[in-house]
Amino acid sequence: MNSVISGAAGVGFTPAEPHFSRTQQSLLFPTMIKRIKPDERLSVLEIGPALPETINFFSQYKCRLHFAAMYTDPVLQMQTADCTEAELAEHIEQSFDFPKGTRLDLCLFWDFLNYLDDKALRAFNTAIRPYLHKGTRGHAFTVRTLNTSFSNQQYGIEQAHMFSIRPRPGKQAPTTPHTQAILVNLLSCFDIDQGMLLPDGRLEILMTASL
Amino acid sequence: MFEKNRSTKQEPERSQPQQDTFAAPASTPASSGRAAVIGPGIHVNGDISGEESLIIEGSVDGKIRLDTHQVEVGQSGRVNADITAKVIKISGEVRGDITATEKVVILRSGNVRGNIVAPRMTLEDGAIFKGSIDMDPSETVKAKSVDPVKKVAEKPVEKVTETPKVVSSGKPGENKSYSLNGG
Repeated sequence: MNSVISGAAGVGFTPAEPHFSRTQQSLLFPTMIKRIKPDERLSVLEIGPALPETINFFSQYKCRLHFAAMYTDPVLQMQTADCTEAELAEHIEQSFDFPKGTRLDLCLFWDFLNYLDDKALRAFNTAIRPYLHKGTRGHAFTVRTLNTSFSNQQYGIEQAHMFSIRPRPGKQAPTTPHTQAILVNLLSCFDIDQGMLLPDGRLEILMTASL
Repeated sequence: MFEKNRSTKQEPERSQPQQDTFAAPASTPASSGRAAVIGPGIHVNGDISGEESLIIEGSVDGKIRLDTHQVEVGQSGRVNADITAKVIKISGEVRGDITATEKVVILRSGNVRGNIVAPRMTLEDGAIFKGSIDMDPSETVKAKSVDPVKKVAEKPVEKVTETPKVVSSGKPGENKSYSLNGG
């Protein structure tokens, strides 16, 4: 973890927008997006569901957007069952179903990593590693302290500095928040570059692949 | 007298019934606006190709190729097939890869699992999609279309590696380089 900036970022309501109820500002995400060159062809992993605003946002770039829809994946139930780490890793890789030769440039994890317990997070690390390269960057939410809770919500990208937040349909899966120290230990294929403490106790982080 | 009036009125309406009954898309390209319909009780197992737009309310297993026309998968439609068409609208369920030369629209009730290649893509709020979307498919689409002159003139996308930049380094003086194109 290289730097933690506190304050600044916040969550606001945007009643004018009919399709989502809230927005959240981000100071870190734009720094990741700024580095994209107009002619570059990107491969982006969105770990959550496909949302209209995210598709609209990335339509300005030459890219392949992979929507993994992992929040509704059976892995969240499998981790509590008697599955081994290897079985979980195999399932996650099958669930990604990336075309052969895929190398991800950007990974949008949102708060998904906090829905995986230690075993599942190690399995996730194993499953995603083959699809990273040295320049792969990731964005996620983690926690500063373990008593921070996560709401049952899903994220979209309205603008580089603004995420849309909607309630997630269905019951919330149990969460296992990870502090940054634990996260880098379990998700060893990424290093944390920057972090920003949010008012609700979550930590927004930018990561770079560590291969 | 009544008989005579009835027969003269019926004449001009003769060619309309199919379009009205099945609400064929008005903007169906390269066709007279007609669309073939696979009804809710029909199951097709095999490939479909042709020169007419298609509305699917039943189920299809195979491949669908209507290069210059529209494919619409209705709410009751279940497609387990790769689809290639000019415009593809989905309100039902599709498992397969989708290639549109103009546009793909996944409506609110749509549920799609597969990879999409299209110059324009619309996903309505509430639609379910799992897979990949190629957001700049010009090269892929052009490669498949019949335009050899343009294809030869096109330069392949070059791999660009960004020059090293300091982002935020924990160790003073340590630079990190970022490459956006995998290698």
